[in-house]
Amino acid sequence: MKELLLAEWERLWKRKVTWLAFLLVPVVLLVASSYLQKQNGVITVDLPQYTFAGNFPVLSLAEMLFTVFNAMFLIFITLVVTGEYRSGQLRMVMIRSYSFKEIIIAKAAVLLLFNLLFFITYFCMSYAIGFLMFEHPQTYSVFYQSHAFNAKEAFVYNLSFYGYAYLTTIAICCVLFFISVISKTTTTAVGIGVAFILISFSYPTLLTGFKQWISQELFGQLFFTSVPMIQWQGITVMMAEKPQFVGWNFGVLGFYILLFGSLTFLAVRKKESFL
Amino acid sequence: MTGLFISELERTFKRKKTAVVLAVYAGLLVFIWFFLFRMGGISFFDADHAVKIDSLNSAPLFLRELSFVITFIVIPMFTVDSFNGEYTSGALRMVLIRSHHRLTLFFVKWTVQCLLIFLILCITWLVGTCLGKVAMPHVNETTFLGGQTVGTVEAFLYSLKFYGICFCIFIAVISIASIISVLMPNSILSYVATIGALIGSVYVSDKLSFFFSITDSVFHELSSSNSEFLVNLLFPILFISLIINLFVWKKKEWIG
Repeated sequence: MKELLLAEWERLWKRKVTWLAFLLVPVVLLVASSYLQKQNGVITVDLPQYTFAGNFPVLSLAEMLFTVFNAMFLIFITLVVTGEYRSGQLRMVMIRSYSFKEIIIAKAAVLLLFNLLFFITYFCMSYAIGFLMFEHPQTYSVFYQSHAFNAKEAFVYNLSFYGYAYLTTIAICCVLFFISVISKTTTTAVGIGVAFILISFSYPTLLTGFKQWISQELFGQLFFTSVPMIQWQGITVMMAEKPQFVGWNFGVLGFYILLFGSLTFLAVRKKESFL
Repeated sequence: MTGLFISELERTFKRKKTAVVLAVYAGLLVFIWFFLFRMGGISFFDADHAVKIDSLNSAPLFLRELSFVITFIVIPMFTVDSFNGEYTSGALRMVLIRSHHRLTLFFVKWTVQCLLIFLILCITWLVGTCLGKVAMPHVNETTFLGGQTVGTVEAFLYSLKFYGICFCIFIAVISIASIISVLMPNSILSYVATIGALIGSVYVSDKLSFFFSITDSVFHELSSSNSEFLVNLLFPILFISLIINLFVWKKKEWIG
């Protein structure tokens, strides 16, 4: 199993795209910082949206989590699962005495590790770029918090924000993984993946049209049944001074992970892997 | 040329995906109709302007709900499969060994993609118009964004013009997707890069936002009398992307 993991890891880093993804981190952060600097021009300093070096990691992640991060995981999961299987690259691994389930588990483990590494890189780079591009006062205000944060508190806040964000991407990865396992071609896999992300972004937006007929509580719960919405607003709400929807959001994430994890497991067990 | 065209069509429809996508799209048409009906016949020109759907304005509003599906799922899927998938999987070998001119091959592929989108738009327009006549309240005149009141014939022309501009934008999307598909090494990257280019265009300039929110900007275009984004922006983009396409297509080393 250890060799399998190692082989999977090596095959991941043999791709040019993997290196490119890490090289793109500073570019993405620079784009985010130029956008946030433009935003700083129109809002006042006391608002929590106002960007400083201390909250740049969180604000830039919130900006990019839904688009860049999800798109990247979509690329890598499809490349590693559907791409390798359908192009026949996986044959050399499959002639060994590993079961298909073990191969899939190794792939999932490697992808989650890669995901973690990407988050760590993004976190460190965002601190560096934040200090270069923005001013850093003693304290500043944070979403849904009454007192201002100093640099040390902010660091803990940022770190736990990234932890929650990592959890949400695990849920997304589980869904995309299942889609990649069952798809016959790579374009189908990407198409269904994009459709999943678009749908889970659009139905909560449509739901706001019905806001006056349902209670605030129910609306929030329905709104946060979609993982991209948890990424977009749920994390800040969960980390507020009076946390809301914590149990619910964890429940939703756990539900996604368990449901799609076991569906993948079933699909792999049923699959006849002849290439 | 005709033979090449027929073979391209056959290869397109031999992929089960094409039929499935068209079927799913038909299902979506029904769903959207049901959804609009449940919403009490309210739709939006853009984020700030709500409108009541009636028998005359239903067709453009119908496309509004579906344009996202077309630009982000249907067009990239079809184009990437045709321009990149066939080449990388080797399905195009049998065509490439014939003595056809490369540019003919490009034009055939491009025409087939445009034809598919044209077909989808025609169906959407027909369904939208018919459902408007049958299911939505009958009126003799209606108001579009910008406040001009139009009669039956003008509303008909408006919806045709609306679909025509949308079709031009979709052709531009197809051309951009085909450039990316030829340049990228595999289908996954070309798919995601296409979507990245569409979303990224919003960051480049506000004027390019019509790639992202197609119908909203077409409503704005048709509501104001003097804005000319079509002539100034869309057609140059279409033209330039076609030239780049021809260039890239001709220079590519075909070693499939």
